[in-house]
Amino acid sequence: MVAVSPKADVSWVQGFREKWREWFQGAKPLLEAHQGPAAFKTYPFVSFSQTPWSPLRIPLSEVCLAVVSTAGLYRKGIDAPFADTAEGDPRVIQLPSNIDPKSLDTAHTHIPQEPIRADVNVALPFDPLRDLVKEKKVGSLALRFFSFVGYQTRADKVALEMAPNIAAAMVEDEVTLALIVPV
Amino acid sequence: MMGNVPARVEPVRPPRWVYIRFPRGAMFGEPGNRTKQRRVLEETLEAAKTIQEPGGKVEMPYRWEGKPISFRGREITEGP
Repeated sequence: MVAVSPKADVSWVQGFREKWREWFQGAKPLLEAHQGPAAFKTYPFVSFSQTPWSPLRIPLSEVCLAVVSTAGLYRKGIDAPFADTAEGDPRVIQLPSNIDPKSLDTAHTHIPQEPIRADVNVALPFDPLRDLVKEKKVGSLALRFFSFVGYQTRADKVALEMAPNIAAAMVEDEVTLALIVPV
Repeated sequence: MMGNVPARVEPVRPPRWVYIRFPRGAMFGEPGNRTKQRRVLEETLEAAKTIQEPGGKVEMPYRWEGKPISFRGREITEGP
């Protein structure tokens, strides 16, 4: 039976940091040479025994929905693009949920960029989301969506900084359902 | 949460997730295919209601119908 926990388990962080330092020392030259598969053969992936869980108790027609995208989306001319570093850029960019998708670009260099540049909706479906709200199938979109680059080697930073900051912003925006769309 | 590689998603233990067999970077389908994007989105959100057990998964029946995506010397229609 899967253990269920209302809060994230962070007991793994200290051990991970030690293993990450050792791994990164050897992996950095491979990562900088874009030899990701070779580098990640020895990455200290984290396994969890607990599943965070809270049931959705309201109909979709009443939810306030936020979306988290790891496609590295940023606003052209407003946000600095995510940096292409061996460690991974830990910045999170907040995107207004009413933004014109054509004003966005992707800075994620570990995925095919062409489909996203042709139509941002393939990675973050702004237009279909708005249709669902107009048709009252989804209650509302939160003020802010969240964008970062899915290439992150510092799992500890994701768990201790990025995710809690996103969660705090969602609480502020009274989000009741969050959709995470990795790439 | 959405995912296209079960071996990468399952160790993370998301509360609930949908498995979609699309290429990386295009979890909602082909550029310009608004009908499919909408269907994938709607069914993903429905899964938030229908999945009643922690870690539950819904597998989507959709497949990539556009040209394969070229990435680092490979042609991709599914997964990484």
